[in-house]
Amino acid sequence: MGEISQEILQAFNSGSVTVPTVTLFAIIIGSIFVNNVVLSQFLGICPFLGVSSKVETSMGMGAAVTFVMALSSIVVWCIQTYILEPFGIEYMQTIVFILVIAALVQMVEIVLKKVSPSLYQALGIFLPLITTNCAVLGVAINMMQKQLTLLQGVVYSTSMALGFALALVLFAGIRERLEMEDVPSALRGTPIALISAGLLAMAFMGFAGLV
Amino acid sequence: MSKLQLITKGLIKENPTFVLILGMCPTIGVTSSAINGCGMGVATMAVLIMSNIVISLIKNFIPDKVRIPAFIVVIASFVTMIEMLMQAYVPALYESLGVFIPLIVVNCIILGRAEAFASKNTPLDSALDGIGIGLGFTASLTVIGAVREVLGSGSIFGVEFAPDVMPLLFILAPGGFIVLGYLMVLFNKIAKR
Amino acid sequence: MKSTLKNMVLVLFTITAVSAFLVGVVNNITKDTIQKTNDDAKLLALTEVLPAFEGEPVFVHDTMKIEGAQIVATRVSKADGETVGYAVETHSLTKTGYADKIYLMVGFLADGTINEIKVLSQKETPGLGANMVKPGNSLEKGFKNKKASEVIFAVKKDDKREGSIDALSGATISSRAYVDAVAAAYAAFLWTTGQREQFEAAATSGNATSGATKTTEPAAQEGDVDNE
Repeated sequence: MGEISQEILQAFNSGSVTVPTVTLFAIIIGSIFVNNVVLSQFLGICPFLGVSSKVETSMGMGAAVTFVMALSSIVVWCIQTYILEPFGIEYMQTIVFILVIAALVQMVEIVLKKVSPSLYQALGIFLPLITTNCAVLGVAINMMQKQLTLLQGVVYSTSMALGFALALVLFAGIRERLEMEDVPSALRGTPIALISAGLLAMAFMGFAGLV
Repeated sequence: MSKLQLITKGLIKENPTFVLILGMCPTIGVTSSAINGCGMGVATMAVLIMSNIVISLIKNFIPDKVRIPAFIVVIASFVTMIEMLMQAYVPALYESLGVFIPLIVVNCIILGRAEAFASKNTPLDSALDGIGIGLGFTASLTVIGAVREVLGSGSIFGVEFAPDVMPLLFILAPGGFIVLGYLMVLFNKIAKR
Repeated sequence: MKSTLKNMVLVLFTITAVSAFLVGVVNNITKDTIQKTNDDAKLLALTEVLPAFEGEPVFVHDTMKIEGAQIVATRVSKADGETVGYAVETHSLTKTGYADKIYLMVGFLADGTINEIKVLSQKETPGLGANMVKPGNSLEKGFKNKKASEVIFAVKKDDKREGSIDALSGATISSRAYVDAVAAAYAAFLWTTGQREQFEAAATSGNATSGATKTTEPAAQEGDVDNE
């Protein structure tokens, strides 16, 4: 007799699928470590390479990205669910999302300028870069594709951003050390950074299968 | 700069990947095979050429303070169009590039060229600039994709010659970073000559 | 141009309006082609998973009534009415792959033998889960030309029950989703051919091996699902 899992038979008998509920904890661990946004999804590599020479700046960048991503996930979720889908214009997703993110970044920039001028000075040139940080747009699109609820979506985006911050800070730590090492001249600069990022990605592969 | 130089500069002198180090996400994200790399390069080039032309045409009408949002809208529209066209005519490629197609919007190369070149030059020059940089990007992505495909899955452009014996690592995430790092070294050595 | 408020609002609004209009136009042009491309791919897969025969095929579609699922069993017959087999368009139903759902077309001969499986779409990791599209991979081998009634729809050495399918190396999650999709196809095949006794029998034996308590309380069953 062919053996089919209980859940499938149930789905056919009852006419509805009981999707295994993903716990928030699983989303958090999965997003920060297993599917790390930089090291396994290849998003946000530009700032990852550009803003990772000092641990301090990388922390600021990580915080700014986390803030923008958490905020944008709420706005983007609402826009998709209450505007794009009811009107059947999902194909405008890319344009709308990028505009929302650009506006949000502008806002964060203005707020940061007022609240913490020192942090603004450190991050000033990188803040506009968050707009073109593909991690923000990429995570927003992925979030909508996974059909998460608002709460799950916010937790997902925030964890993804925390994963970005974690990778960034870890990497900055490595690069601070690297500066004191005698690196072969051909490898100096970006090449050695990329190779160390590869090794870091290999370490993160160890998390696969955790959730 | 002559017209020919505009087209060829992207290959070596201003190579977006190896010299300018821009657009790293698709560079590592989609280059698990040569075909994917090439497809991504061509899609990006198409967006780059069209956005360069349009931005250069409308540059005089855009108030300076809303320059960036205006550019982004133009770029995002072209990306959405390309996305739909790819879905219609090259569905297999569309599927394997996945989220990286809408992410062409945030490819720093495109906004960078709009800001640095198209907003200061004539439409013709901007188009040539788009072709040049686009060719450089496509060439780099194809090379990276080919190297990773050969090392990781023992095939080239989908033609298998040594399947199942190559270290898989090269088409996974770490391999992307490492291959790009070493190719950059190689490129610098060759370009310096 | 000067950056006065009026100018900025006017220009941005114009650019956005023109862009939105153009994108809408392209959407209208490509919409039908996208639909046609998808339909063509499905139709091609539909004929590929069943043995070839002369003459025009006759299709009878039967969509499974499961909320949120898109499982269609199609009876393919020759012009004279002789059934060639059933092609089931299916996807991972109760499990997801590493990245997303996995969509398959599964061909059954009339006697319940699995003839061929085609991957319609998947987004798994290249080199690992994506190997499911390669001809002759371990998943395909596990099903091809086997009587579905003799297959245990689970991967070998799974944590819950011993199945009869070899998982792709390094891609257990993708393999589970693939097997789940084929199992859903088999269920649809039994459903559409009216073999309800088989279905119930499968249900009982599934119960026995999975070790789940034979309770009809929904709460308890949901708990069972959570453990996956």
